Amino acid sequence: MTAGDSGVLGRTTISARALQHLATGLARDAARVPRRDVAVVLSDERGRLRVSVTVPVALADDRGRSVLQGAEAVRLRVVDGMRELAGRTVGTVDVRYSGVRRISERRVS
Amino acid sequence: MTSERTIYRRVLRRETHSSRTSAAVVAASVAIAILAAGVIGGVWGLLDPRVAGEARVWFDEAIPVGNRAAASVAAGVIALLLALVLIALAVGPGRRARRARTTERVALLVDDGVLADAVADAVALRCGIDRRQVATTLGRSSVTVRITPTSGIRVDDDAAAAAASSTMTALGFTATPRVRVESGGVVA
Repeated sequence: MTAGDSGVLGRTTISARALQHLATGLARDAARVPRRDVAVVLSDERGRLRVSVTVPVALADDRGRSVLQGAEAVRLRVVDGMRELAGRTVGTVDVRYSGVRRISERRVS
Repeated sequence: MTSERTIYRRVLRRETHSSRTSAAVVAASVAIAILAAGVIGGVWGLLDPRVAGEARVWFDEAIPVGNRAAASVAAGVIALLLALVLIALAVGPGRRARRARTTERVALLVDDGVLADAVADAVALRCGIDRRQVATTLGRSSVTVRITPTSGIRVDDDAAAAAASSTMTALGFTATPRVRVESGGVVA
């Protein structure tokens, strides 16, 4: 990131750990599974960011969404979120499904 | 005033070029030692005729007749390398990694490493990347900046070149900037 237009010099640094937590949160939101089930590995791919996400298949009662659609949702969410929140261009998002979780989503009143 | 200028010029020239004294002293000492050994051996041989025979026996034991060709080739190669080193020392400009300039009142002598650090700091600040991701090397008339990008953030290499050349200009030296952005980056 370049120094902003405010005229004050300084650099903004986002640590690898913070980025990883951010990507984990984004993947969790899109896959709708608990945070502890999501594993994220960040790496470099020719100057761009590569995000490898491992999530379980979430079996919910009310959603008729296929696994492939779910993966696409995770991909879009990670790419958009990383660009908007961290200013990073993500080149590749690998989504890997491992395991199955039965999720019951309840409305909290 | 004029004498000051002359002194400045001489001092700066002395400090930016390496001295040949040590190489010359070593070469002269070795030559003196070899000549002295030859003279002493020759005189001793004249005074005591047995010495020549003993020396021949010792030489035959040290280098057997079968190895003569290989030994002489090796000796020739060593002498050739030594000669090349000495010629390079004598003819080469012997520049040190420093550069100098004079202003109205003072003469400045700056290590290349200091300038390289200054350039790297400026480039890192301008591009908003960590200082450790920038490496700078100073050539005679160029400054090479190698940048390791942060994954997913494009590096503006024109801005980096501008920062490098403006830093050099501000310090009073001129160098053509060359920016190379590495293909692989680091996550953070």
